[in-house]
Amino acid sequence: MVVKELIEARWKAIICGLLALILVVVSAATYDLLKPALSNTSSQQMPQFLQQQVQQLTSSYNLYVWGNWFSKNGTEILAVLAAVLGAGLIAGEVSKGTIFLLLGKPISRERTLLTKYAVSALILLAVAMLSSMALLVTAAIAGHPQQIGGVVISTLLLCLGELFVLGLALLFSVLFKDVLRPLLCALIITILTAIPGFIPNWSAWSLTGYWSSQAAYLGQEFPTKALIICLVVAVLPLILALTLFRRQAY
Amino acid sequence: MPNWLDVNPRSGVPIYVQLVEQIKHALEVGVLQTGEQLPTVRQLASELTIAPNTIVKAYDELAKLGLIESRQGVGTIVVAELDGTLRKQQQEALFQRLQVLVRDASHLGISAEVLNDHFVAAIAQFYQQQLASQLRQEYEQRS
Amino acid sequence: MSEKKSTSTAAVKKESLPAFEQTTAIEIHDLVVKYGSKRAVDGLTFKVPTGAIFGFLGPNGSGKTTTIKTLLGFRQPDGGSARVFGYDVASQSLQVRAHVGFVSETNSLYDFLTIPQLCAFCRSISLEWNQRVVDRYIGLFGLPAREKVGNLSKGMKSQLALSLALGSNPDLLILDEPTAGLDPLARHEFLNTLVSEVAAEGKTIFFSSHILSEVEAVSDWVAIIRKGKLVLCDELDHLKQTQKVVKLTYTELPPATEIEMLNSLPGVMSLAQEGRSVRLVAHGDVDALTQTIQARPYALRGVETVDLNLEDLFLEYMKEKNDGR
Repeated sequence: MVVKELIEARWKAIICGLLALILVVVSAATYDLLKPALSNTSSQQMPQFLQQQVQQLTSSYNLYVWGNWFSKNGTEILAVLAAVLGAGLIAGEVSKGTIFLLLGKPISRERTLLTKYAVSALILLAVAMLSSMALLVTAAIAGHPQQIGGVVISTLLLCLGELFVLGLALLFSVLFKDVLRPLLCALIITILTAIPGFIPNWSAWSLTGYWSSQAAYLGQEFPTKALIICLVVAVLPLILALTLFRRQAY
Repeated sequence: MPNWLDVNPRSGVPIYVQLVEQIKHALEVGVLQTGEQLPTVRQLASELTIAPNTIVKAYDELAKLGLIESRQGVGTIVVAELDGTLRKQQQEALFQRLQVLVRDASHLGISAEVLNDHFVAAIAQFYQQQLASQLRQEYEQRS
Repeated sequence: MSEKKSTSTAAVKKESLPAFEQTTAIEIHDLVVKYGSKRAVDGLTFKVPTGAIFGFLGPNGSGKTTTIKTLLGFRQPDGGSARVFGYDVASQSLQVRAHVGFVSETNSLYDFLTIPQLCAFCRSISLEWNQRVVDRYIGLFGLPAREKVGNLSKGMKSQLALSLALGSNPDLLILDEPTAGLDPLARHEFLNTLVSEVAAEGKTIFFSSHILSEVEAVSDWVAIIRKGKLVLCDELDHLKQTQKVVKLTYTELPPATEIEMLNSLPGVMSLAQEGRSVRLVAHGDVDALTQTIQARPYALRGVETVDLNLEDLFLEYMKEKNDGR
């Protein structure tokens, strides 16, 4: 069953993976070129709060790379991948009619759901790890070697965070019979959880903020609080999806 | 494979009854001889696309009538004799049909002479061989 | 050579004794399945004996697929019960599915896999798997062994689905409209393999269909369902032998009271009158019935008993009965 799930997801994984690699490598390789341009940016167009953030992020290579990948691009790309994978897990089978092939076999619904979830999670992890490795390599080549410890922790944290999106998409995949609606719902909700991050003083309420701890990346502290929050939030939709799938009539 | 077996699943007559009747008939007319082997249940099911159980039922019925026997390692063999009670039953059924025929003819208003003419013509047509050999016998007796 | 696959998470083992019921493959009792407030299956009760080829007939929307889905645990019953080889379909669904090979109505397969990959997939989610059996059927059907599933024709997909269903060595095959959408040649091949290979091995076959002719050709048993209720369930041979049409021709127009009396005779299922001709559909001891009728004081010019085939019977039972029977 694992092999079939992997074969089924191959194009989604490959495309997102390549995109991720390109983004990582580009951001890691072009800092030195862009730095002069970034620090001269006119400050009138952006609100004070954001302007400060941008200034801070471009002040050093490490911060720039973190801000670009772990805080922005990586989060977004992996969120899309998680949503796309998750949305198809059950609804994809239902819309194609292959769900009956699965349900008619002597395996429990729990095992079916969890295996699919696990394979998708592994794909997310693989893409994230590959990107992080590319980051390490590119940064080293560019002359700004990064702390491996920080990168590893950040990668894991990011993955854990994305499991929330995966779980959410899976939950909607159980509820809906088409793939589009779970995908949209999952992405919209994820975006909603990111909004507090843009409001001054509300950043503690931004869920996506916890996926990318700047301090953890820089090696300043171990992000215990973030890990716990991400873990809890990742598990909740999964449990809900499992409960509903068990009772769903087909 | 017996290509003289031809069942009609869409008939109101159960398939196994059709099988029994056709095999009995085959025995009567000599298409099936004593000692011959009948196809296996599986072969026949495949040939006719009917349920194996139906064939089993038919074979069981024929075995009950004493017409066939299934032997270990050999298959199903015809053991019936061509003469005997079976032929008698067939003959009686035929004579009954004859009665009904004549009765219907009288209802339709066909005269006895017309009916008899048809009967004689039919005998002449189908009993040619028998008549021919009879005539030959008589001729040989005289000479 | 059959290989048993032990799975890491499954605590389910395919039992062959003692819970396994040997003589009745499926037993449905007062089954009720609802879609919202509508009863798709309404108090259904019948049994499927082991080793039978059982045809489950009914018009579209009569509850056939719903019944099958309930047997396999896709839906829960809202009332009544059902057992497959003694296992309760609601609480022992895993055991049920361990003994059943299923082909759904739409028979959707993973188009992006090749046939060997699909076999490996099915093996990974079955408790028992015999690839030799699957290969044998694939060979029998003449399917291209390494082809991508998506490139197969509809007929080939049905054949593949059957081959795969047999790979787990099931005791019961449940097929939902297996020949729907197949051209006559493919349909014939499918049925032929079903009777000459599968049934000959003693497996029970439960299949739903709305194609009367094929049910009539291959079934030992037949059940007809209408609007969620059972209309009849019997051995097909017994049905044909005990259900007859009796055509009566009276010399003079019989009075209405006599017609009523005829209608009320035991075994008379329906009656139609046109002047001096009366057409009865009767079941049971039809000979006794005709004798009773001939003993009546109203002179008969003719009494004729006619056999009914499955189509006749089906149409007869689908008619609304005037007296609500």
